[in-house]
Amino acid sequence: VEAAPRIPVESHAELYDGAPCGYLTTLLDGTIVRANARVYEWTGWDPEDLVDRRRFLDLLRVGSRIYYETHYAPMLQLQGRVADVALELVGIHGQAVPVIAGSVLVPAGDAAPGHIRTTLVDARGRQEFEQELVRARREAEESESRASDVARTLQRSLLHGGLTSGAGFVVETRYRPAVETLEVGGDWYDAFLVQDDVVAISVGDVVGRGLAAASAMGQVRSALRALSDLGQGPGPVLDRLDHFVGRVPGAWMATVAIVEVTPATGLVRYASAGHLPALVLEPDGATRLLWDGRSHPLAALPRDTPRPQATTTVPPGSSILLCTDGLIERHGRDIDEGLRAWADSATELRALPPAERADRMLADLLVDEDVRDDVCLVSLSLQPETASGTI
Amino acid sequence: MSEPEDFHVEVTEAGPVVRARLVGSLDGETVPVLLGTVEPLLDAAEGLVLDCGPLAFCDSSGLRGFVLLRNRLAAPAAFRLEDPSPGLRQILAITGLEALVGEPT
Repeated sequence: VEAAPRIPVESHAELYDGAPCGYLTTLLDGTIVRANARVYEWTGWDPEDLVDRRRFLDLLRVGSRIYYETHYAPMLQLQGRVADVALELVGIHGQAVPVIAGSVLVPAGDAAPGHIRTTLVDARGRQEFEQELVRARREAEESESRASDVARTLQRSLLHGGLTSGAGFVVETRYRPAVETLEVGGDWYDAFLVQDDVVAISVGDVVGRGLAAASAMGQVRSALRALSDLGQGPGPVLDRLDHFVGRVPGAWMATVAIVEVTPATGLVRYASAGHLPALVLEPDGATRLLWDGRSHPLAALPRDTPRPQATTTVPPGSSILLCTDGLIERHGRDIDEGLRAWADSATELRALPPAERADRMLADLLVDEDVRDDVCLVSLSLQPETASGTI
Repeated sequence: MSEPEDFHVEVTEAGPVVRARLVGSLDGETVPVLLGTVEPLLDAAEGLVLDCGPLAFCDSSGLRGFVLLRNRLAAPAAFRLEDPSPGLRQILAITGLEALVGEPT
């Protein structure tokens, strides 16, 4: 190994004037007593212009002066030191030199009155770097907003195509995006025929937001439709979805509720994977939540038994409603209060046609500032017994 | 949404059974705080007990965090939520995740 070439010990003067930072010694009132060559180089002043004639304050731009007087100097008085403060020097030609300043207060002693030592580190590169950061951030934000447009378009197209009516029933779907965020959520709804005489409605929620969530949501929704074709009911559909979700990044822990209805008989088969229960509204205004057929979110925990499903019947003219948690969940309110508010609203609006009822329900249950989350609402309304023809 | 400072984790035991208190509001914004604090402790851990007494709010992202941590354990049954509020108990019941409040085996 070759010995490093020897560097002779530098004199204090060399260290002082040749340092890559500025040094200033000032009196307690800021009057400059001494400065190193770097300060003269940056500012363009000569020693005779500065020493005893100007204060540190005079080397600063207006904004920095204010900051110096209101923060820097008082802090130095109180704590004896200040570090890492961004200031801007101004030179004789008006040129600005951004610096990072730090000072220590040297108290009065036998040899000298109290004074202040200040170092100034050249921050011109840092400022450029920060401007780069700002530019990069702006570009990232622009690209993010493009991605959010794409996600929204994708989501809209994915939610499209649900059934709106059929023999003996009408379906109303409502989707309201969160107010606070531009990013789309992973809520979905759907309505489709399982068999000629059986209609299914479903809602679900993929955890997370943005493009990934929208795409995972679309895949789970399509898979649910495809798997429902087998006609075994919603429990086995959820079992198959568990396997499917293992292969879809972002769909893990999605929740989903499925309700299959035979309009002619009022027979209802339903199941929920971690989702809120369905609400039945009977024509007289009576309501009940369908609590059975309940299991954990998709693929959350290992299972050694099949997912459960449950059966009930509803009278003609009933509606069955599903929603996502944005309609129910509020900070500082238990979820059963939210469910009760939902049921009460249904009872109150029982006489309205399904479309109007859905609109009013959203309006009544959501105050704008409450909409922190996306909200889906689906209702399937069966034809009343007395009606002739279509609803 | 909460801000990250609306939630914090106090790790009270970092032994074979990790114990931690969850304080504040757990949702999509704050769940990284939970995962970031607790997950690194699980490599050598046999069990995890999360004290939910001081937890003021928990949404679906919070539940997802619980299940993630549970599934990180070699023996997932050794995961337990302690002292859940009636509200949290109800959310766990609705989402079919009552198993998270079980006794470790």
